[in-house]
Order: sequence, then structure tokens, then C-alpha cells
Amino acid sequence: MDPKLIDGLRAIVGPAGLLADDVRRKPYESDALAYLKRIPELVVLPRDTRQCAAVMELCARHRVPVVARGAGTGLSGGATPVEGGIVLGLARMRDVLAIDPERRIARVQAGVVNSDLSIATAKHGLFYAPDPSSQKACTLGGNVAENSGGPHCFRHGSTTRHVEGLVIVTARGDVLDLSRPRADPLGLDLVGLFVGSEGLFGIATELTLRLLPIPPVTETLLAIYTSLEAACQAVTQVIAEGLEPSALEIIDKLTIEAVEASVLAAGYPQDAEAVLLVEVEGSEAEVASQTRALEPILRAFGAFELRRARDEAERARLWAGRKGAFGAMGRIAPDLYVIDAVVPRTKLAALVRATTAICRERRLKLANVFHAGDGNLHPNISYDRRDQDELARVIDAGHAILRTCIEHGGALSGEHGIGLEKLEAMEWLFTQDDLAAMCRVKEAWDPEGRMNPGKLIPVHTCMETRSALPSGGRA
Amino acid sequence: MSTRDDAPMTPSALVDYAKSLDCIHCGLCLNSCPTYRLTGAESSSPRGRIHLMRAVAEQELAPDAAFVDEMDFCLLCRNCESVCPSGVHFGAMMEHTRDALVKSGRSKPRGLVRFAFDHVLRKRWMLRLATRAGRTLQLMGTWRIFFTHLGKHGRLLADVPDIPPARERRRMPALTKAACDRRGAVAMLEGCVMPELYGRVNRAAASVLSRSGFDVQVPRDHVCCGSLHAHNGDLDGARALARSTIAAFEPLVDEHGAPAPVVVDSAGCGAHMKEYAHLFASDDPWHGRAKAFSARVKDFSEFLAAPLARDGLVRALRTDAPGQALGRVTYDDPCHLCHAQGVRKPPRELLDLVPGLERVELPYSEQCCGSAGIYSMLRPADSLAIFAPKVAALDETGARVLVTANPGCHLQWDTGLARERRDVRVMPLAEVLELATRPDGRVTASRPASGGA
Amino acid sequence: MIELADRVRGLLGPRAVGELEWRGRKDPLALALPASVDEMQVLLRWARAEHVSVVPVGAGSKLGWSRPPGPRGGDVLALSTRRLQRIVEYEPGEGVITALAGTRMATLRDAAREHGHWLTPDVPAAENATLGGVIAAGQSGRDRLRHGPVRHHVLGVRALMADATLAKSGGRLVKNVTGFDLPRLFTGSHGALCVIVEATLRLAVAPRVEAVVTASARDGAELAARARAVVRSRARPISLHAARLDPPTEAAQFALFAHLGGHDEVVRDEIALLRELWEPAAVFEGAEAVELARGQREIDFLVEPRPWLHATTSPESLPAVLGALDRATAFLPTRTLVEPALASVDVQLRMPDGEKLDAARWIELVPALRRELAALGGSLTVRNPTRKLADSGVPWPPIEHGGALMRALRDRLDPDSVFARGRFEEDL
Repeated sequence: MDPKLIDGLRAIVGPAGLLADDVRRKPYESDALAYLKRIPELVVLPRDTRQCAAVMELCARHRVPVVARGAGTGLSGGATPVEGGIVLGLARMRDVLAIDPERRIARVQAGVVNSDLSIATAKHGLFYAPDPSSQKACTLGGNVAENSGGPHCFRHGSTTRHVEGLVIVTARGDVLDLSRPRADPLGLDLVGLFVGSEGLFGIATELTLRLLPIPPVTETLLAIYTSLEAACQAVTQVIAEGLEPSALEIIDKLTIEAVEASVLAAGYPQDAEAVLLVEVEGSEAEVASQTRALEPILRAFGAFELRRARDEAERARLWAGRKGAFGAMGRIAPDLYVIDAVVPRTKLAALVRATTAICRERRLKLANVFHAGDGNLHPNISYDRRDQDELARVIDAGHAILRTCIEHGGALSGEHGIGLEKLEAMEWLFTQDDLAAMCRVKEAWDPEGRMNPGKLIPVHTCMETRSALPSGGRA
Repeated sequence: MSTRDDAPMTPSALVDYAKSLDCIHCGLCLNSCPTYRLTGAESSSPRGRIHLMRAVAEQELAPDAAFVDEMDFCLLCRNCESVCPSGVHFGAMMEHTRDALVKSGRSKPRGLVRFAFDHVLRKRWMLRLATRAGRTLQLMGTWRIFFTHLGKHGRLLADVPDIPPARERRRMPALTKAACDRRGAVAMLEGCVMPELYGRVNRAAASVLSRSGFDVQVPRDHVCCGSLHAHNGDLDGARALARSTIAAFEPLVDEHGAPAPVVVDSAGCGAHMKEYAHLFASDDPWHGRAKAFSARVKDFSEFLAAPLARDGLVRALRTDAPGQALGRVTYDDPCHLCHAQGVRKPPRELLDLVPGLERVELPYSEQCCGSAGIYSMLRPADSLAIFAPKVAALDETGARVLVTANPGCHLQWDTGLARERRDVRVMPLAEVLELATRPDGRVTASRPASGGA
Repeated sequence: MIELADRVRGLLGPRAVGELEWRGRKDPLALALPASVDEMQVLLRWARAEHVSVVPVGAGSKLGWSRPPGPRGGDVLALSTRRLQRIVEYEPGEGVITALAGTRMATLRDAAREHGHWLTPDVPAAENATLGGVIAAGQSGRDRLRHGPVRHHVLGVRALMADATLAKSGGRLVKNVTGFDLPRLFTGSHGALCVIVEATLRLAVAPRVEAVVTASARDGAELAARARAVVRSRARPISLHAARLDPPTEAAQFALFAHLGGHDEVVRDEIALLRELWEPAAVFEGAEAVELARGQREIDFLVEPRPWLHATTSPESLPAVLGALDRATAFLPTRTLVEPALASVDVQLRMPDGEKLDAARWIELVPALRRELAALGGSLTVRNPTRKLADSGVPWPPIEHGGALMRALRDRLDPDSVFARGRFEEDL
């Protein structure tokens, strides 16, 4: 690293905002996808948009690649550092800037932790709906980059539906203020395009987010099944009948066992093959009518037991088990590969069957926990990354699962993003022409290709696009 | 585990490698960690620290000064354990590493601290001497001048509340009889620093237990449980003190001759005493004795909230709404009660039993206040920074009284609130209950006249 | 002009050529009507080679929502997708519908309704409006109060890019983050970036029963208060709007309509709530309610391309904005519709048409009104302006932020300006 760059960065963010020594850079070598790693040249932790813009401007001058990072809880390698690049961490930008309870809008810095926002807005009877399982640690800026989901996105939609405005620092260090919420965008929908761009466009430093009123009544139902397929079929039927629960989650036996053995023991019955967690929220009348319609469907597909969480504590406990499920799998083996794939909701059962077969063939331990209502599968494979052979089998299984999903009309990611993890799979789903359009959009934001390079779009695709540009690729 | 050799330790011996493998790198612990919330640097987070330990063990990283600094920076509040879905034993890993860093000469506890660990905390007469000297300095008014010369460490010590007069530092009697119909007998830990700074809290706890129908026994020859030693890289010292503690309490029995419950009103000590078995290898005969002893250990609130004692307490409570005089009350969870012992509800339930008491929740009450044993003295600037958001949270509640259940937190709040000029009284849970069960006399809400510089 | 039509006829045959009247342009445009994606690709390649600007259109009902295409004087060819009509996939259990861009919204709405789904956006004149046109114009329905704007519902798009390649983005899945969200970029892009040839929409659940609750409001302040009471309540109306009474009475200037729908029990609960909030209120149920809601959706000036003012403001400045609009338009008979939501309020005001519209007066009035509204946190657009008005450029507000980036996007996606420029701003 150029000492001038280091000094310049230190002058912007102060000594505590620049991590340059071995020990302090080491933890940034990967995000929660631990098998991909590279130690960043530097880690820079700005405090606000102004500092962030100055950092980006300096990096542009030195032609240094930049990888943005929230809390590093991502599962697709989106925050894995790149060669010769720095990590720009948003963890010190954690101020809630404003809450407007009348319009139900909050303005926050990008490093605010997802669940901290709901804590801050609770006194106004409001909450922020997207609830990724890592919500107690992940940042809202990271959620915007990945267009994160979560169980309740079944009703409320993924992050993109909750972003009303952004302040973006561009690759060149310009500040683009799109923070003012508008009913419809003026000109092209840059905010909508930015959400889910995985750090390839720029850095969102301030977010304008929509809040929802805390529902007056919430009821959680737990239906217990003797087969995973029956649970899947029940979900398909609930959707077909036009019921609108706020969440539909399936947890399989291996996951149940892991959760029950952890600090998050939720009281899930250990003799079940699958539990289906259904949440209904809304007014008294809404919840009553939905629940009445739900129960016979859940039973029709063989739920041998139906539990209702009555009080807040019991509800929280049922959910804690679901949300911590993937961490609880850590008890089974040192590492866990969480696959994220989406499939048509009518094909859930078939795909769960196929996934099980793929892992069995490769002698891998598979647990399923997924957002069934959205058709968002999360096959979890336990492994030990020190066992190279096992790691290879895990990655191979992941590929086989994704190919199967694509064959059934599915896609590569419902909420974790593509990052590094699924880079090559992009070419299984998209044609060169599809990818070329994405490349061009990327180049409009970041002509030099310094923002999180090598992620999301296979590099050679972009190279080809450039050479195919009529003006010689330098337009 | 650890070694006594003076030979340089291999890097892998610095780390409890097997335990580090439980971490799957999910990062759910990050936001629970006070030091990460402060710096935003992942090396200051639980996942980051485990990652560093693992890297040292796998010889990818040298355990240099920066490594030692990140290990020392940890408060050992164990908030991360409460949120870890994989059940990682972070506290035990950190104690192991700190001990190994001290033994291998990579980390040097400051001279004064070393002296305190080796001598003062182990001997009652040394403790008494130290506090007497301190009180004399305070009375002469030279206290502040004295500590001003110590630089930034001194500034913080200068805020220490007045050491109470000798009358308040008197020892507890070996036996306090049940004040009403006897329900049973308990043993109580008097502790090392407790009787010197917070003797009145011990006596309040004993009174409440007595009024609730319990004989309270105190082993006269016991001093320190060793928790500070374990947290600060002296596992050998901790082991020696654990043995003496177990031995001192083993003879104390109830009226049926069964081992009496060991009631502890200091969360840090209780947490450590519940985990004594970790200090001894499983084939060590002390391992079994430690397990049996730990099963008897109960936090003061945990013991009182259980049905038998609660019933006695309810009978002893005044009916003239003694809680009213306190004004709005909030409770701050000591880390070693909520995270290390998992005790969250009992203190709240007990406060809610007090007639007329208005209790509100303190936002982020499970975040560390920065006291963390002797951390506030070892890293005063960090401790202050970690305390700051706690005051902001307290301001939001509008509470007049802040209840805690650990002497370290009590001290941190007392000095911190005096420094920040907040008119909020800090009360240990035992004192609130003592007031509420006092057979005669008035319940007062005023802040004690002392309260710092 | 004639020559262009002939050349297209030569390329695609006689059936594929027509004429398009474009309000705001002097002459009609030559219109190409390809019957397939292949034909469109042929046309685009030809246009690129021949330096003809192409402006993609659907049925042509919302052309006046953005600037008329430039370059002025050059060859501009309209390319309509209206012959691409087919529902490609509709598996009711999935809750999504995929169709070719020229499919009429009514076709989709009827198909969805048959299986208990509700097509959102619920647009007026759905018999005419095409799927591609609605998306390209970024047209939300009045049901956006419950279901959100159209940009939240476009799950996937297949589009022809300027180089005639077919690019797919998104998919037919309700949840999907694979690749950039180009459907969001293309929604509301007014044909400046691509030709949408196929799209997938997320469907909502059709209400089992519907009801309409109506009440009156004395003035703008009462209207704002009554609307606020509903949008902040537990009720989740499908839509909520107010129309200015013509003529107004002493006691009432506005009529409020709340369209409710859902399970029987929920609707009953919401009716009771609205009666309380709007006392006195009238309630319509069953077929009567459906008919009333339909009538309120098909308001004349929204169905036919007549000029109207579209103001957006914050709820608290609604009375002031209504006042400002009243003062500015006091000289002529107008018709006003108000669509209140939580964070913003839409005000739609019919303007006189044709000869009756005094362009010179509006060219002065619009910028002044826009300044006044901006001070109140609002904005103003003229939809379907007459030619004189359009030529002046005043109907559209300038883009405040991000113009450079929008130009960069355009330049990258369409370096040869195959798609006509100027739909947003000069050169964009």
C-alpha cells in the first residue's frame, strides 16, 4: 500500500478508524462464508457520509478497489476482500438520524444494526419489517446491499420494498442524495436499482426506511408433522387458498435437534420430522379469521399436534429457535454451509426430496430450515473446512442443488446474494446477453470496476461487453 | 491445559483450540459486544477474538502486542455467550488465553494489581490495612492530590466513593438467627472487597434472609473466591482460592445436616463459584468436590425468588407501600448475573413484589456498564467510554433509583453518576428489600450524603 | 415520415405498419407493429444501422406522461408491443402471472380473478392499457394504498436492449435476489432504455367481500383529517380517495371513498371502524360496492388522455396545497381527485382540453405553482399536455439528483441512441 494513501486515509478517519496491523486486519478476511478468505490491505471505518466520500475519493485517485462491509454476517462472500483492495467498514456509522412517526419513516446511518432500529422505534408503536435471521447483528446497509429477506418478508416483502431513499457515495467519491422519499421516483429509479447491488455500484451511507405499525395481535402456530413433505404440501395449500399469514417457516428434524440442544431451546418436539411455524398478524378480526381458516389446512396434511404461542415470551422463544437455527448447527460440526435458493412454491416438496438425495449421495449431513412461504430453501450442510475432501463434496453438493433448482424454474438466491459464492452459477441461469445488460449497468456506476470487483457477475462477461461496445469500450 | 514451565509456550498452547472450533463464524455475537459497539473493529468482537485465537493456534498469526491488547480489551462480560446459538464457551476460552499470555510473559499485569492478587485479596488483615489507609487519605483530603499524580488511572480512582467508616466495615457475625418462623438455613459469602466497601449490602442481604425465615451462617476464616484472579490471567491463584472456598463452605449444613445453600449477593463471585469445576481436570478429586459445591451456589435473588423463600419474604414485606418513597425504579442486569448465570427474571420479580414500587425497564440493560471486575482500573478510558451509553439509557427511563446486584456495577454506577451529575440513587437489590422488610423505621429516598468527590 | 413507414413495411410486411398520434407532437409518428420478438429484433438492428430513433410504446395511452421523444426533426419510429399478446404462464398456486408485453391489463385481471387473485396495479382503462405500457410508464393503481406501487410487483422482465439482444432479469419467483434488480430500473423508464417484451407480476389475494364507505368533508382540512384517521387506523383499505363535489355545497366540498375488501369478518370490522371515524358515513356492499369502486376508478380524465395536473404533497400540507391549486385555477372549471396515503398525497386536477386550454397562461402558471408547492414539500407534473404546453417544457419537473448517473446508464445501455432521447430531460 502506498504510504501516501495510508496517511491520507488516517487523516480522514483518524487513527482509530484505520486498521493496518496484522491482528486487526485478520478478522476481516472473510464474512460468515468462512471458506473464502483474503486479508484486506487496510480496513477503514468512517464515521459519516462526509468521511466516507473523502475515503472513496482518495481510493479513486489511487485506483484502489473497495469492498464495503457491514457486520460481515453475509453468507455469499459479498464482503470477502479482493486483491489489492481495502475494506470500507460501516460499523462505526450507527446513528439513527431521525424517526418520523407521523409518516412512519426513519433515516439511519448504514451501520445501524437491523434490530436496533426496531428497538428505537418501538416507543412509537412502529417496527422495521425485514427480519433476516442475523437481525441482531447485521447492519441495515448490508441489508440494502444484499436486498435481505427474512421470515416476515412473506407478508411484507424483502428489503427493497422498505427502502424509500438513499444517500449514496459513488465510486468517484461523489455524494448522491436520493434520501427524500417520493411516491414515485423522479426520472429513473436509482434507489430501486441500487438495492441488492451487492456493493458493486457504490456505498449507501444513509438510508430512508419505511416503518410499519406493530400489529395489534400476533399469533404463532406450530404444526408438527411426521414427514417433511407433508409440511411442504400444507404450505402450498395455504398459499393456494389465498391465506395471508405473515410467515411460513419449516424446520426439519436435524435442525430441531440442534436447536433443542442449544441455549435457544424452543420446546420444539424432538420426535417430529418437521415443524411448520406459521405466524398471523393484524387486527383482532384479521387474525381470528385467518387462524380459523388455517387450522383445518394444517391438520388436513397430517399435523399430529398443533400448538399456539399465546404470550409474547413463548412466541419469542419459538422464533428464537428458528432464527438461531443456523448457528445452533455449529454444535454438529465446526462449519456450516448455508445454501440459499428459491424455487416455485408449488415445487417445494419435490425439491426438498431432490436436495436430500444429493446430500445422501455425497455422504453429507443435511438439515433443512427454510422460508417455505416464499419458496426460499436453505439446505444447511455441516462440515469441517480442515477436511479438504469433505469441503469439495460440500461445494459439489451446493452446485448440484442449484442446478436442480434452476431446472425446476428456480433461481440462485432469495436473500443471501450471489457474491463470490455463486459467481459461476450465474452463467447457468443467465445467458451472456442477460449478463451483458447487467455489466453495462454496473459500468455506468463504476466505470473503472473498483467497487467489489469480481463479485456477482463473472468477470469475463464484463470484459466481453467492453470489447463489444461500439465506441471501443471507453465511452 | 496450562503449564507451569518457564520455557516459552508454543502459540497453540495460548489457545483452547478445541473450544474455538465451536464457533461457526456467523457473527450473531457482534452487536452484543460492548467493545465492538465502541470501536466498530471486528478484532474487538467475540467472533474476531476467536478468529484471532484460532489463527494463533494454527500459526497463521503471531501473538504480538496487538493480539495481547485485543485480549485485554475484552470485558469478559460474556454477553456474547447469551446470544451465541452455537453455545461457544467464550469466557472459558478468554480466561485460558489470558492465563497463558501472563505465564508466557506476553502480558504483564501491572505491579500493583499483581501485588493485590497475590497478597491483599487473599488475606483479610491486608485488605483491612489497605482500606484503612485509603480512608485516612480521604479524610485528610489528600486523596485527590495523591491520585492526580497517577495520571489518567488516578483520575478515575479519585472518583471512588468514600471508603465507609470502620463501623460499616465491621465483620458479619458467624450466625444470624432467623427473625421469625424458621424455614431453613443458608450459608452466605462475605467476600473480599465487599465487606470493606459494601459491608452494609452484606448486612442488608443477611437481614432480608433472616426476616424471611432463614438462619444465615458465614464462614469466618474465608476471604476470596478467586474470580478476579481467573478473569485476569491467574488461573493458578484462582485454583488455590477455589480449593479454600470449597473447604470453608463444605462443613456448613442446614438443620437436617444437608449442605446449606450458598447465597451470594455479588454476581461476579456467584458466577465464578458456579463454574469452579472448569478449573480442575476431570480426574482431579477437586473436580467432583467443585461440582457438588457449585450446585449449592445461588444468587441472592435466585434464592429468594424460589417458592419457599419467596413465601417468607412476602410475609415479611411491609404493607404500607414502602416502594412509593423510592420513586421510579429501574434494574440494570449485571453481566455475571444475566449472561454468566442466566438469572434475569428473579431480581425483577422480587422488585415487583414490593408494594408501591414502580419499575420500568432500562433499555439495553444487558449491556456491560464497563466495571467488569478491575477493568475500570486497568483500562479507565475504555471503561468510561463503555459506561457512556448506559447513562443515556438511564436518562430515557426517568428513574430515580437504579438497582443492581453486583458490587462492581454498584461502584461503577455510583462514581459514574456522581461524575455525570445525575441525581439518581444506586441501590443493591438487597438494600431495596431490606428497606421494604424493615419492621419499623422510615423508608428514605434521599441519596446518601457520601457519593464521591 | 411517409418514407419511414414504407421502409418498415418493406421490412415487416403491410400489417406491421400504422400511425400514432402523439399529443404534444405536431405530426403523427410512423408506427411499427411487429408480431414477434424476432421481428422486433430485425427492426431494432435496422434502426441502429439506419440511425432511426425508436420509441417503444404499448397501446399509446400514457405517452403524455413524459416528454415527447426527440430528436426534433429527426426520424422517429414508434414501436408498439401491442401485438405480443399472450399469458405465458399462470400457475394459480404460485401467485404470479407472466405475460407478453402487449397483453391487456383487463385480460390479466380477469384471468387472475378467476383463481381468487387480484391484479395489482388496478389501473383505469384496463381494456386498453398493456402490461408493458403500464410498467414502462410506472403506473400504479389506486390500490397502491394497500398493495404498494407498481415497482414493487414487477418480479421479472424480458427486454430487448438497444443492440437487439434479449436480456432477462428477475424471474417468475416471489422472492429472488439473483443479479441486479433491472426490473426496478425498467419500471418507469418510459422506453428510454429497452423494449419490455415480457413481464411477471406478483398477484395479490382477491378480497372475498368488498364494501365502499363514503362520507363527505367540509373542506381541505377536514378531508386531510378524515383521511389521516383512516390511514393511521387498523383498517387496510384497498383504496382511499376523495373527489371534489361539483357543485360543492355549504356543508361539503369533497366526497370521500374508502374501498374495503377481505374476509367477511375483517370487512365488517373495518366498516364499523370507518363509520365511527367518519360519522356520518354511508356504506355500500356486495355488487353495489364493486360497481361503485369500478366507477370511481374509471374517472374520465384518467381514462382518456386529457391534460391534467398531478401534484404530490405531504399530508400535512394538503389543505394548503388544495388552496394553492384553487387559487391558481379559479378562472376555470376543474375537477379534483385526492388520493391520500400515509407519507404523501396525490392530487389530480383535470385541465381544460384542446382549444379551451390557454397554453400561454399555463406556461406561466405551472412553474409558479410548482414553486409554491415545492415550498410546501410538494411537486407538480402536467400529464398529457397539449403541444404548445409540451414544447415549452414546463409540464415536467427538472430532475434534481442523479441526472448524471441516469445519463451514464443510458449511454452504456444504448450508446448509439437507438431509443429516442429526451423522454426525461433534454438528451435523457
